[in-house]
Amino acid sequence: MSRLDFISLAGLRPDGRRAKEIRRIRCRLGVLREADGSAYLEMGQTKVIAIVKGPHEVSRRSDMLIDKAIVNCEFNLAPFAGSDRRKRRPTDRKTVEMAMSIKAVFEGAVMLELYPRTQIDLYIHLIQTDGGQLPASINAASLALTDAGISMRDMVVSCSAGHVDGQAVMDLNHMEQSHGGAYVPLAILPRGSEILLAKMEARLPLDIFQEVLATALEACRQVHAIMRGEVREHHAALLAAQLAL
Amino acid sequence: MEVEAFQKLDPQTFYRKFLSEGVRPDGRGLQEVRDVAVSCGVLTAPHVAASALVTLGDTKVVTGITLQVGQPSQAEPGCGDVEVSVHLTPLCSSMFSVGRPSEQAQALEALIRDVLTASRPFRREDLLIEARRFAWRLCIDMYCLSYEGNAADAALLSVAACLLRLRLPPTVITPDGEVLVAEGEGTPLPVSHVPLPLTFGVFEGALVADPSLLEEDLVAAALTVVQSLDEGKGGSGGGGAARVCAVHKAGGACVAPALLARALALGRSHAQRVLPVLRGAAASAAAAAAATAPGT
Repeated sequence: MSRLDFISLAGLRPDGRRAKEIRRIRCRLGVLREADGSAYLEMGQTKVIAIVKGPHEVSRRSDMLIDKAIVNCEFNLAPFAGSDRRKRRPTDRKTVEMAMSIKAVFEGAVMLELYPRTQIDLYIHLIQTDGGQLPASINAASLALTDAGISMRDMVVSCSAGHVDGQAVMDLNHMEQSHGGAYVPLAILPRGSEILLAKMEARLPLDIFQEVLATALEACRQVHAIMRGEVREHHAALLAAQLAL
Repeated sequence: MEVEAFQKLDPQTFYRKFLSEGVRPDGRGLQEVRDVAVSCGVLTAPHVAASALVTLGDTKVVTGITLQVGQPSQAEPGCGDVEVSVHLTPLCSSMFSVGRPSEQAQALEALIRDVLTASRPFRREDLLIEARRFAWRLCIDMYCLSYEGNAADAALLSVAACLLRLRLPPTVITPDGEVLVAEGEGTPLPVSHVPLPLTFGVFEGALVADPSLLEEDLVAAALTVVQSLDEGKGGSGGGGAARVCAVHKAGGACVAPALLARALALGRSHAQRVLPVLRGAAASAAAAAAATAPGT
């Protein structure tokens, strides 16, 4: 068996990126007419649609909180999303974990106290996956919430970093993520670089962990620049349409 | 009476007043961890390969590892499997009910599984009996006996204590393709490092180590850091260099990167205190087993 080089002599990764380069991000707000907020986002080959409904009346009265809104998240990985066709039930372990993580992130970011006695639903549909499922889902949900006009402390942005071939790299794809090295998904509020979510389970020396973390933070900032540009453009278009009326 | 009413009516302010004085309602300092006690080999049934009871203050968990022979998955024909189930039942707290595992139990299972499979305290290749055909499947069952907050640390410590005592029995493969467990001592599972956890609650930008049940409801986020110490290897004397095995911060309130660095430093010094406790428990269990073994 030949060992795969994750970073070639020229310093390029298998998909042609440099170590400190994120994948192409394309995103659009307001892709669905029926939803209160929606967004479509691509990070490389990972493609997500996020839909927001709410704030609306709490569907199960016993869940209602009198001083703030509750967040409900459903995560759905399409059977055709990965390389092997596989249908997952909503109680599948990975699905539940993913939904829990996304929910926890937005419980920290949305200003829930502005919407007491209500519920905000997040539906995430991953339609194609090539690594970085969690960051892509969080970014899409963040844009959908922005589209729905729900107040957040700041726009949540997320990206991963990892450590392959002795280098800290940004935004891992599926191959790099599954080879067994470090994979650190990070979600931040970019204004103060405050960490909402960080996960890491590989064994790394402290200084390398700090380096990977710094790389992930920088990757998040790059993602933020792109997402902010898209939000501005979208709203400029909306404003122009309104002025034309 | 007035104090109790205050605590019930406005727990946040109650807690804030305590923290501003640098002390917590149970009398601990902000970074003080409750007493940790570990005992290994508490379950004596013959099919339990390793077990440990960990008490962290009033939180008690017992973990048992049983071994099953399974077939390695096609994706990893050279590795054994690890299965984790966490049981948070009404036994330990009225918060939990019978039936499907709660979200908290599932999150804890995921954390333990990720720490074991990704930070690799042992090589899953060592669980192999015969490539593609047989491998040991590690079934880790954790029961919480009393839930007084911070089950994550207690659970991870108990799993670590079990690993230190785990022996894989010798096996014989019969001609008709069955695995029989042979008589004998078995070989200890090589454990390269011991993952040592410390969980913090984040309350208005301050870290409180090892949150109690009361505090778990009040803090805005939880942050778990798992680290290992290099023991002896590399010749460094006191403690040695730590490695980060896992960082887990799932949503909730924000944490500045500086606070994360501080949590790592605190976790490291805590790890240095806890590791001797774990090693001591494993050693005394080994001594007890040797004393009761037949033929001595």
